[in-house]
Amino acid sequence: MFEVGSLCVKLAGRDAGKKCVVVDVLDDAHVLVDGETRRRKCNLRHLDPLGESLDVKKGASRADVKKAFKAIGVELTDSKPKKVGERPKKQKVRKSELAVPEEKASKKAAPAKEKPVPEPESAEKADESVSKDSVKKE
Amino acid sequence: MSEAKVKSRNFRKVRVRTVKGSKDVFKRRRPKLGVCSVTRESLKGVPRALPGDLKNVPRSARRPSRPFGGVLSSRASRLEIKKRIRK
Repeated sequence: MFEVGSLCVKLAGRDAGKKCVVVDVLDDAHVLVDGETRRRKCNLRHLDPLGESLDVKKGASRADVKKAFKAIGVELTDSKPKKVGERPKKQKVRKSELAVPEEKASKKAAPAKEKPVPEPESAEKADESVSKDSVKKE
Repeated sequence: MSEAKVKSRNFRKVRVRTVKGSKDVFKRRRPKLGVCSVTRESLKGVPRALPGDLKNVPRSARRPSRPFGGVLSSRASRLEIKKRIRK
């Protein structure tokens, strides 16, 4: 019933309802399947034979299985394995940097006010007032 | 006088001991076990928890990840898949 190349449907697990082909017979109760499902060992109880057979040799590779499925009009797609990259390292922030309030920070950022330079006219006025006093005293 | 919403049977009354004595607290009842509509079996792998409690639970732990998981029992889903494939 379950020979190499026989087309089946998976009935159990997350691949249930997907078509697969027997690639290898492992023992009385288990076979190796590949196809729309993942390539894996499978219990015969979890398979439903469709009565068709594909041109697949014992221990056929994934590429061979793809070709066989293409012949019956089923395109198989491979999911790309996830690339495991390095985790972004957290940058340490000092407490003193966090504690600066916004107002202080803005003050620091703003340029300091320049002291007003006394104009020459005011200086003249001052001289005049001094001279007036001196005149009164006389 | 209890609130109107609390009078619903969805809430259960729990007596809680407090510092001053005790008082009644109303808590939501947990949902019943799911049942397969075909075989009438209770659904396995579906936790009896309120939606809020399942927020931090992984999706794979909320229901079986096979087709019809959490709706039909395993036996019924196999029958359904066979029926659909043969069509």
